[in-house]
This record gives sequence, structure tokens and C-alpha cells, in this order.
Amino acid sequence: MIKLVPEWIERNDEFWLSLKRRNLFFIKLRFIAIVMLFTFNYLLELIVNIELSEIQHNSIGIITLFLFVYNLSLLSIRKRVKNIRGSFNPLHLSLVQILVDLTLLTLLIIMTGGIESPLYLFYIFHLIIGSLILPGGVIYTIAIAVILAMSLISYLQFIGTAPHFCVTGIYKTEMYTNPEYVITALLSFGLMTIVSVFLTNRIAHQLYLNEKKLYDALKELNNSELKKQKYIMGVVHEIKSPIAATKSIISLILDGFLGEFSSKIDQKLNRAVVRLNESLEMINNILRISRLRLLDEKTSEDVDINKLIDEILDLNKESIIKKRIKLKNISSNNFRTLKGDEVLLKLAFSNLIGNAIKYTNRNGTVSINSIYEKNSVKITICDNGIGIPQNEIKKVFDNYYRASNSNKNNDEGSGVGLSLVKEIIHQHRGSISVTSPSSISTEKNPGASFKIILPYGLKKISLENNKFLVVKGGV
Amino acid sequence: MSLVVVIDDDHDILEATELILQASNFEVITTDNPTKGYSLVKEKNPDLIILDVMMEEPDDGFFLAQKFRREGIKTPILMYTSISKTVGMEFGAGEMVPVDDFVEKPISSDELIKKVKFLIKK
Repeated sequence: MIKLVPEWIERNDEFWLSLKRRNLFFIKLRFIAIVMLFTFNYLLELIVNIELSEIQHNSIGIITLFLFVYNLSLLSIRKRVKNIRGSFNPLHLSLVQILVDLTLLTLLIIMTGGIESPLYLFYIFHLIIGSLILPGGVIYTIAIAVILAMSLISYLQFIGTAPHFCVTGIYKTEMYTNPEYVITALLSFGLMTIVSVFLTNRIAHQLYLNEKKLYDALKELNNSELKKQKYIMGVVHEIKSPIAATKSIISLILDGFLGEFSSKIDQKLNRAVVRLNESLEMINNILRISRLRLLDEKTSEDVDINKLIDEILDLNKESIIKKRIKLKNISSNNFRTLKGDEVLLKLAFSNLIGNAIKYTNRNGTVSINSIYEKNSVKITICDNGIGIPQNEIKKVFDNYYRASNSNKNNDEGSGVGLSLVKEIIHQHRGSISVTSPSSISTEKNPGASFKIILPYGLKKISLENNKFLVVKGGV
Repeated sequence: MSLVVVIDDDHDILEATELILQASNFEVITTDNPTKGYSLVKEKNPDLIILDVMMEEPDDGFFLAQKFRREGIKTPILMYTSISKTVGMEFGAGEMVPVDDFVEKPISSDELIKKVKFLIKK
């Protein structure tokens, strides 16, 4: 089979899909052409003052019938043509269609007056379509063949070798024997054909080149993202391994596998586990944020925000009781679920609620308000903890930001938390803002207030076909 | 007494696993070398294999698990992973990789014993 397109196009699924669609479109278009031919053959005489001879009627009738049968067979053939390299593919089918169409058109032109036939303008229409699909070399060859065929027909009819079938009524005098007319008509036709093919082919070629650039860029992007993801996971694995091993060893001791030990040691080992958990959480957050940024992958499910907040509060129960924090969790009655990724939203809200609890002193207040509005839910998480200094409030969502006043607090943190929260909220088409002092601030404790707005519906933005590859295997 | 072969390049993890499983009356053989681990499995025909997913090279554990399955060794395999769950790569056991279950590091003794007992009973 002749190779009609470069290899990169052959590998482009979108190209084949559009080609298949175009082939079907041509078949549909041909049915319209059949109706038009039928009208031309039998009905046009009734409307305008033209006349076809019996032989013209019959031959146009036969061509129309052939076109009909041929089009029906194309309809069934197209389904069986697969995009297999080296075999008869949809592109070959397009070429066959153009060649058969042009042959039939040539016959029609011969039967309707050669150079006098207005139908020869349809050549240009065919060649424009061909230029969009076929490579330059093929379509120029076809265009030159068409010009030569048209010239040959005109010449043979001019010298009287070939029979001339005139459509009575179109021209008052015989034009095909008028050399000035024949030459002018052929020159304009030839020029128009070449210019049309040249321009269309150039535009189509440019489009293909742009598509190739996009295709290459996407491929490169996929590769580098994949490499980056593997690299980050590899590095993080290296960092996590010793920590995980240390924690496994301490757990061994704490679980009594190595015998008894004093309560003082138990206390210190438990403290070590808390600190190790902090670093593990930090590492996990880095991994989550990388994955979120690199893969842009999220699921869309019905998420019950109220339930999610209750679950998070339940997980933090111990700290809330221990620090005697007054907790207010209020939701408006018109509660409803929203579309989103539950795991990611839970991660975001645990960070925000966890921070509120962490940075609130003993006997402080944490207040969570969920108001269900028409298109979105507004959740406000307020505390009267240490607050955020005014000059730093703009930086809180930056990567690795930790408020300068947070150091005096005993808890450690990674600083990736709020950046990740913002990322997740944005991925859900929502917004997040922060104010400090909060509405429940006290004289000593300004506290902070985070306002999150999440729309109920999650519009899908990532392109199905262009999803990044997920690293196979694991680390 | 059931025999468990543990293959991991981290000696501390090997030791911890050994201690936990021995305390639950399992006989344990450990090795930090995948090649040695492979011959140990062939030779001793254990009741369970514990494999770390990433040893010297990423996916070493997967390759080894696949090698066992290709050679018709049907011994249950428990795989140690480090970050797969965190990043949401929860593999369906037996689907992508021919293993029976996963344990995420750091190892929790309760989880490990529970999973080992379940797989050996099976």
C-alpha cells in the first residue's frame, strides 16, 4: 500500500478519527449530490428553459444510479476499514473516493457539453477537499491530471474527434468550437485549480505542522512529568525509608517484643513516635502535593461536607478535650452534597481544622460554620489562637510558609499544608481566603479565620485523551 | 511451624519483621539480596514470602514476584510498600502485581501478624 502520510500522523489517533468522520461526511454529501443530479436530469427542464437529449438523459441516469450503488457500498466498506499500517486504511478510502468521483464527474462533463458544461466547476470543489486530506504530491498530480483531461476533452471536441453533447438552452451559439472561448475558459480553469489546490494544501500543511508541534510538546511534557514524578517519589522514598525503619523499631520496643522497660522510657519513646509521625506526615504531604500537581487526577463523587467535618473533628477529639477547646460546629439547614474528590477535600479540611486546633491555646474557641448557598457552600473555620501577623497574611498559601510566631508553639509542621489546601480548593473550582484577627478574637489571641467557597458542581477540565500516564509499579 | 521468607534490603526492617513473626511462633528466614531470596524460596518452599517492593532498583519486588508466579510458585506473597498508599496508588492485589496483600511501612506489628496469619491460613 502506498504511504500517504508521515509516520507521526499515522500514530495520531485524532487524525484517524477525524478522517473516519470526513469519510462519512463525504458519503452523506454524495447522497445530496445524487439528489441534485436527479433534479438536474429530470426536473431542471421544467423550471428553466434547457433541454437534454435522450442519450444525455439516459447516461446521466446511469451515472446517478451507479453513484447511488457505489455510495451504498462505501457506507458498508467504511466500517470495515481499519487503521492498520501498511494495509488499506481510511486514507486510501478517501483517495479512492476522490478518484472515482472525479472520473464520474468527467463523464458527466462530457455528457453535458465539455467546456460548455457548468459542471466542470465542481472539479475545484473536489480538489479543495482532496487538498485538505491528501499529501501535496498526490493532490497536485490529480489536479494536473484534471486540467489535462479537461483540455483533452475540449480539444477533441473542438477538432470534432470526440462527440459533443450540448445542453440546449445554456448558450445561444456553439461555444466549444470558438477557440477564444475554449482557450480563455481552460486558462482560467487551470489557474483557478492550481491556485485553489496550492492555497488549501498550504493551509492544511500548516495545520498539520501545528498539530505535530502540539503532539510533540504533549509527548515531551508527558515524558518529563513522568520522569519528575518518578524522581520525586524515588527521593522521598529514600527519605522515608530510614524514618519508617526507625518507627518500626520503636514500635517493636513499645509493643513489648524486646521485654519490659520503665514508664520513663515508654514516655520518651512515645514522644519519639509523635515526632516521627510528624515527619512522616510531612513527607506524605509533599508526596500528595506532587501527585496533585503532576497528575491533575481527581475523582468526582458526591461529598457530604458536614459528615466530612464531623469525621475530622472526631479524629481530633483527643486534642480538643485535652486543650479544653470550646467547639462550635454549625451548618445551615439546606444542606446538600457537592461533586468532588472526597480524599482530597478531607485532606484540605483536616489541614485547616487541624491548624485551628493546633494554634489555639487552652480554653480557646474553634468555630466551624457551613452555609449552603444557591450554587456553593461557604465554610468558615475560625479560631482565637495565635493568629497570623498582618505583614505575613499574603504569604500563608505559599509553599513552605510557616508564620514567624508559630515557632513558639510546641507543634512542628511542614508548611506544605496551606499550599496544598489552596491547590485542592482551586482544583475544585473553589476559593479560599484568610483574615486575622478572626471574628472571635480576644484581646490576647487574635486568631485566624479561613473562608472556603466550594461550588456544588465540579466542571471537568482535564482532557480525557491527554491524561498523563500514571507511573506503573510503585515505590 | 510455618516458614516465612522475608526479602528486604533494609536490615532494620528485616530484624523487626523477624522479631514480630518469631514472637507469633513463625519460623523466619531473612535476606537482603533478591537473588539469594529467590534461591531460598526455591530451596525451602516457605508458607509465605514477604517482599519489599523497592530493593536495589525500583520495582525489584514486583519483578521477583512476577518471576515466582511465572515459574508456577504459588506461595502467598505479602509486599512491603513505602509510599504507594500515600500517593493513592492502592494496587488491587493480584491485578497489576501478582501479590496477595500489601503492608505499608512503617510496619505495625498488629497489622503484619494479622495479614501473615490470614495468608498462611488461606
